[in-house]
Parts: sequence; structure tokens; C-alpha cells
Amino acid sequence: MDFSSLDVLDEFFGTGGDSNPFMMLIWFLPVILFVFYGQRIQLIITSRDIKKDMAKLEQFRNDSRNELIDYVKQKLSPNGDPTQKLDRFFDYFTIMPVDIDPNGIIPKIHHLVRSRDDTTRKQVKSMFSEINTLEITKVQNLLEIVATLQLLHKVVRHLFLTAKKQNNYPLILPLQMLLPFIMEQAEALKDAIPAFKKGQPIGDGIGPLVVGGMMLDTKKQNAEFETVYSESEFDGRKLILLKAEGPYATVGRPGEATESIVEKLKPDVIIMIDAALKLEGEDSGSVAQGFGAAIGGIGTDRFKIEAIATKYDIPIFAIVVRQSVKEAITLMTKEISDQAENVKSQVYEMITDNSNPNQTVLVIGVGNTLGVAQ
Amino acid sequence: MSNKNEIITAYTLQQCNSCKEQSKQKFSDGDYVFKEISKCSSCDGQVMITKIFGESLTQ
Repeated sequence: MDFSSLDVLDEFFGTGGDSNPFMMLIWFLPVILFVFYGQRIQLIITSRDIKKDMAKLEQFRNDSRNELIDYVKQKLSPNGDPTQKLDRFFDYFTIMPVDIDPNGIIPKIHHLVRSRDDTTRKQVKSMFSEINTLEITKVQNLLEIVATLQLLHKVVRHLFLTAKKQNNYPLILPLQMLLPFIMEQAEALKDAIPAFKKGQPIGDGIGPLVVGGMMLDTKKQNAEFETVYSESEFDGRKLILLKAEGPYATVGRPGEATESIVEKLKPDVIIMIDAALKLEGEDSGSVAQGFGAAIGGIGTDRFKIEAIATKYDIPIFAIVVRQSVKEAITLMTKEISDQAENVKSQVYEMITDNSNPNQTVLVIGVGNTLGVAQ
Repeated sequence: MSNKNEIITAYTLQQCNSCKEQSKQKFSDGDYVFKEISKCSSCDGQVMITKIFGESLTQ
């Protein structure tokens, strides 16, 4: 036989232009496949990535849990084995108040958060026959870290398994979009553990660091639970300096402390110094000035400060030091700590620009004061 | 998220409140900012920790 004239390509793929049923099948099969099974294929591909992150989250949760248990067992000599009790703490949940009628919700949230804090502190205390305040606050913060990592892992797992169970690709899309942000937060939490164990200042402590420096050589008085204030003078103005009590791992109670100080000492101006989350592209440690109550958290402290300032018509000024989520909760970086002097000079400038001699200025250093005394 | 291996070392910056002489040392347990450490060796002033910070070394 003579095969010299046989064109293999033309025979099987119809390159000659004639219609070829085999070629049609090759082109139509993927189209049919993607029309009916496209979402399932995407679900399989996305699932693989999510599973990897979920495994990481589980690892973070397990590592942080083990680190906390080891820390409590080895450094703090608890009464008996604390593992079971700590495991119960990690699963603690908070049911937020009904918000269908939001009127009066702030005092309810405030009450809930305080009750939770007080109960956790009591429970931590009860695990030891002898423990100092610094260690209690450190364990409380570490508990929060592990509980948050556990919650993140559970929520991600729930969303993922629900989408898989329903074979529902659109259901997995929000998770796929949110996961990088969740992982960023989880990595930050995991990296925060060493600083909390060693009692080192974290990025969020820049406000207490500035005000703590201004409080040196003044008489410290108790303003509220784990919150101190002192009086000082600058350029003919009376300064009231307020911060959480360091070097404990606490943010204190700035809301209640401001309320009582304003009622008692009637300041003319309030200046708040805090760490703020930087936007992508902004430099870490950059300092910015503005107006309003610079304080994070669930919102109850900010509400109290805004309410009391409004009641007495006191202007609130803010100075913030910008940083990332990770920088805010891990060991303070050199870039951020180097800004302390700059912020202090900006505070003094703000005082002279916005108050007159013989007036009173309340300066609040907001943030976790771990590793920063006064 | 970075794949680089980052090692962060904690340092304390100590300063004499009188002659302002500074020294940088590795962080040790129990250190905190504004902790009074000792008397200054050169002027007998009070040496205090003024900063604690982390410096990273990327491998």
C-alpha cells in the first residue's frame, strides 16, 4: 500500500476544513463538562488552597495552646493540672445583646465585656495559690490569643465544610476572599505569643510609652481598675496624665477613668495618643494628628469618652502612630519605639497650640501597657 | 506573608538620667521600660531602661 499521500493531521483533526465528528467531540466535550461541572471543578481547586490554610490555622491553634499550657505549668506552678480548665476557657463565648432596638445597647455591651473580664481574671487566679498581677494579665492575654485562634479555625472550617456539604461553589467565594486577611491576623496572633510570655512592650504600647515617660517623677494615683493618673505642669498649664498601669499586660479602663477625671478635675482639652492601623503603602511608625477619640476596642470606652467630652464641651485631639496588625500586637519595632520622642514633642506642641496658660489638659496614653511602667 | 526566615532579637536601651549616656543590651527576663537598673558608672546618676524594641535579621 502507498501511505505517502496519507495526511495524519487532516485525517484525525480535520485541518483540511471538512467537518470531523472526532474533532467536534474534542471541542464540545470540555464545553459540556464546564457547563455542567464547572462550579464543582472550581470548588475542588479552591478547596485545595483553603485546606492548606485550614491546616495552618489548626497548627497555630495547637501550637499556641501547647505554649500556653507549658508556660502555665513550668513558670507559674498551678494547683494541679491546668489543661482541662484552660481547654474550657478557650471555648468561652460571648452572646452580644439584642440589637433590633439599639437604644441603650452600649451599657449592655460594657456590662457583658466587664463581666467576662472579671470572671476570666477570677478563674485564672483560682488556678494558682500564689500569682502576681503581671502574670495574671499575661495569662489573660495569652488566653485571648488562643481563644481567638480557636474561633478563627472553627469559623473557617464551618464555612468550608458547609460549602463542601452543599456542593455550593458560590458559598465558598466569600471565604476565599476573606482568607488572606484571616491568615494575616492569625499569623500576627501566633507571633504575639513570645512578647506576651516575656512581658515585652508591643506596638500598641506606644501611647502608654509616651505618657509613661511624661509621668516619671510624678505622684501616681489610682484612677480606675488597672489605670493610673498623675498631675504635672507644662508651660503654665496643668497636665493630667492617664494610662493603664504598667508594666502589666492591660489596657486599663480609660473610659471610666476619663469620666471620673473629667467630673473631678474639669479639663479644658483632651489629647489622646494611640496606635492606629496603617493603610497599605503607608510607612510603619508614621505619626499623624487629628480630631476625635483615638481608641480602639469594642467601642464602649470611646463612647464614654465622647459622651463626657460632649457633655462638658471639651475638644478631643488625637495623635496616632501608624502600624500594621502584626506590629500592633508583637514586640515593638525600633521604628515605632524611635517615634516616642517625636510624639512627645508633638503632644507638647499640641498643648501650647490648643490651650491657654492656667488651663487644664488631660493627656491619655491609650493601648496595652505590657512592659511599660510609668 | 513572607517566606523569608525572620529572626527578631529584643534589645533594651538603657540611659543615665544625669549624663544621658546610653547603652544597648539584649533583653533579659524581668526588664521593662522605665525600670531603674543601677547607678551610672561614670557620673553616679540613675540608669533606667528607656526603650525595649525588636530588631529583625532576615535570612
